Amino acid sequence: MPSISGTESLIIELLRDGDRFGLELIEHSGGRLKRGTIYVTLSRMETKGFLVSRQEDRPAGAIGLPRRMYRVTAYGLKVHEAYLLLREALALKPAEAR
Amino acid sequence: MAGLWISRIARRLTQPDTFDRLVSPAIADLQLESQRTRVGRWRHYPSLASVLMWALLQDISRELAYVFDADAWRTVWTRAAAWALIAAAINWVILYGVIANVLNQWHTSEAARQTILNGVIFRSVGPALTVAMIVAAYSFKRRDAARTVSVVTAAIALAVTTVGATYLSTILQEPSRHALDEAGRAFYGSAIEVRRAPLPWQLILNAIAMIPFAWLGVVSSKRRGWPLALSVIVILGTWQVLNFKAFPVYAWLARVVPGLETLLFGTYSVPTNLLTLSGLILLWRGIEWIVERPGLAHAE
Repeated sequence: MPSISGTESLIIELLRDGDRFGLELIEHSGGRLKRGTIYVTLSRMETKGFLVSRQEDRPAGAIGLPRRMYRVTAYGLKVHEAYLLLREALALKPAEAR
Repeated sequence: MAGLWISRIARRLTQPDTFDRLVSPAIADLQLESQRTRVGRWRHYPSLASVLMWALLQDISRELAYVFDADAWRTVWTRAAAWALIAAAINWVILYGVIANVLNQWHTSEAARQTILNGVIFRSVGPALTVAMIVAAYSFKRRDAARTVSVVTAAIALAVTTVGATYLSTILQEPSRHALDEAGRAFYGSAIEVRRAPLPWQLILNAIAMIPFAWLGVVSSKRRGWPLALSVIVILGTWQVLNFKAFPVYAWLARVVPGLETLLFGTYSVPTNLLTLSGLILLWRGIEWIVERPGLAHAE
């Protein structure tokens, strides 16, 4: 049974539009993703099979380390969808809350 | 370029896979951010430190699984335990003989004599763990020469064991040591000083002092047969002789750093372990390096 956290779900949501690297994800999360934890979360998600990553293609002679681009897998999307459905189903409706 | 030195250090400290998947993306983002703003660069350093810590923890937990897997228990730890038992037995026989002889000269009562000799066995814990450290490091290095991190993990595990074992053996030999001090005082008057149990920081230093023994195991792993036996005997034998009471390192260090002598005596010969064994291994490696130089080999 796969498990997915809120942060992991948010990362998958952000990756729906296309491949991104860690810093881009932080910038697009509106402060919900932190620098200190995102790389660990991304690594864990790769281990779980939610994401795949590759090093970016760089021109010859470029200095510095190549960035790592992340892409969501079909499995990751499936677990994310299931998570959203479950969250929707468990959310209290105003009528139920009374 | 920002992050270059961190990258170099991280590459050395972490496994290639961990570096590629966890540390390298964080450094690459730091480098990108530092090109944009100077502030961004400094905001990234704490997160890089936490990523590096996490990477190290991940590697250590993975390595612990490797160091204590079924194959390691069969090929490394069983062998280390067997050698440790032999060392403990030899140490016990020697100490038992020496102390029994001393007690004969002191004309100690039979009850005190029994108490003292019963506690001798607990004094063999240290030598046993020392030998276990050498054998474990040797075996892990021979199991996979490229995985130095296995030796480091095993050494840390044994060093942690040393803290617990030393503390436990100190408690268990307390009646014996007390009786020995009493017997000594009765014979010499008030000349014998009652030693106290080691303090926590002394126990930790004792554990750190085990590290050169792991290094000795690594150095020895390149040999087999009589060259192995010879190098270990020469290094350990010289170390043992130098650690003898007359070894003047305390006095020499006390001249260099005033007040250090008290600290050195308080740490139960830890610095002598670290200094003499490390020095001897370096000397031995130096001799090997000179003898095995390509120019000399060619000249022969």
